Amino acid sequence: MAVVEVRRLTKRFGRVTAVDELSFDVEPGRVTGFLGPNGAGKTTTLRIMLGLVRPTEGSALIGGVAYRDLRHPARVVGAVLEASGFHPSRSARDHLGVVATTAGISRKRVDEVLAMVGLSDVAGRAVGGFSLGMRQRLELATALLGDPELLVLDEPANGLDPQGISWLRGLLRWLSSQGRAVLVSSHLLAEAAQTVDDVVIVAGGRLAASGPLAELTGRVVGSVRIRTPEAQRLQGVLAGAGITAHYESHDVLVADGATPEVVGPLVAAQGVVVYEMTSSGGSLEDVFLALTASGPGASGPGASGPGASGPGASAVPGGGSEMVR
Amino acid sequence: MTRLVRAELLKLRTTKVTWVLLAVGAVTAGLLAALVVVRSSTAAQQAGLPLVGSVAWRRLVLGLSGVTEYFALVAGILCVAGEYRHGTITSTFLVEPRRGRVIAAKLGASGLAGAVFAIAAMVVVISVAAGTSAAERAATGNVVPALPAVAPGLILATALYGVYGAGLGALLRNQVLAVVIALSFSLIGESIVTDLLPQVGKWLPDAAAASFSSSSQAGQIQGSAHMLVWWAGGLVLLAYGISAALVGVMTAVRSDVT
Repeated sequence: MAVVEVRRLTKRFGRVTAVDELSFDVEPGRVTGFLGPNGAGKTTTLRIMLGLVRPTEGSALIGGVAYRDLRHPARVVGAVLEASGFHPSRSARDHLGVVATTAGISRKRVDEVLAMVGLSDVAGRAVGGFSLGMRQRLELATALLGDPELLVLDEPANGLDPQGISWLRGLLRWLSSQGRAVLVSSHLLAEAAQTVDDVVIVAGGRLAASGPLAELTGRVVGSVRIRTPEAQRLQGVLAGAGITAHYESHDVLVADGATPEVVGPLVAAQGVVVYEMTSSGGSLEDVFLALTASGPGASGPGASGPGASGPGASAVPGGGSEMVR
Repeated sequence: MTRLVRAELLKLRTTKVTWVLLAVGAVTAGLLAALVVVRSSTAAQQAGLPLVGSVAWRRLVLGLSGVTEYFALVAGILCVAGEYRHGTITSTFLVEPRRGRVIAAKLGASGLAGAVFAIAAMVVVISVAAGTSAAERAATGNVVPALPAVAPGLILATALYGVYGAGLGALLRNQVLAVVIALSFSLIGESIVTDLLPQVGKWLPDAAAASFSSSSQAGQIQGSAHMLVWWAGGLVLLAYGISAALVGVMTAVRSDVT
């Protein structure tokens, strides 16, 4: 059963429709990327989900109930939101102590989560002196206090350095491997693609696509890049199979619209020497651009279009769809 | 509910500004007490000041602790508006989405903080009065005997000022605006209204507090005709805090947190 069920969610601010009949699910044990450009309605949707903003229409239920009706919200949902702040003169430990007391969580747990995010050494320092990255870690610690089954993170990579982003990615994978549902918003598609299992793509407040990442990226045809000393011969072989290939350099061919599953057997059958073969394209960016170009909402939910080539088809660095499993 | 009040008290304790307000309130009370002790023990008795060492004098001096009411008022405002100012209201409402309960806990915690403010101010005033009188070689600067008459009303008034402040904070949400409005009304606006319309003035917060906190009883300056009965004064002050909070919860507090 889905942990989060968003149904026909709509939010209007005056004449502006920030969220427009949005529906999607978030499943346990998976990292769901909530993706879209800035201003697509991601933050508004998350804040509605968390009971901070009232929807104009529709609903966002967590475990079947609205956030406001959760008996112990901190034990069910942990959230990291932008623009949620800290009192500058309060220490990290006191900040967590305040939240723990409000939620009825033992103070022992405070030190546990501090260690989990690597802030134990600075726990006694006032948050006012924290860097953006340290604040983000403290936000995560706050979210983890209640050991929740659902984590909702709004642009958590903001302010983190590359090391921090890699740490965050590992943390999210670890949390989802424990069976928790993780919903993480991002406007950085390539970055998100390295972490998520499922994606929900929004544009202009409407759903552009949703489904497992592999299915979505499989729908967009990429290209295969082949480094070979026999470029001219290979070009002829590919042409014989109806595949156009152009030179990238004197020994590198790029076969557009092809997959390694097609090129590989051809190369083997003709005995062409190949030094290197990589597939690219089919990245989340390609998916996103293709979807938004054809108009938002053009391909509804449950996208599993033709040409879904399954995982592995594009497991290549540089192809944005590398899956970290 | 207890857990929410405990959390609010923890927030107050772990915020530097609470301690600053507590200290400045108590020090101000101490300075006023020193001034009065010095003025009333000089050879020429100042007009309007009761005889040094008299019951009225003791009550007057100890009642000066009441100045901390304004500091409790500000602490109450910050207890609510400060969370909006620093954005911590988001995590507070995430953990307790029933916002009315959060505000109720804040009223309670601000009231308790007010009581502590009053006690701290009285401790300082008692020490200062004793110290200053000794320095002035006055017969007795011991105001402790006035405690039973003064302390209950003063603690209650300061506590209710804390509640009133929290209510204003919930109503206005903007801490600077709330502090400016509350203080300018209490310190200036109210006396203007009272001068022009005494019948209205007695229903205002300061006058309501004065009806049961003893600084006025000792002063005996205000005509008691323009004063509410003590219990009515207490209820009126409490009503200010609760009604401001109620309106706040139904309007400002209920709105989207973005």
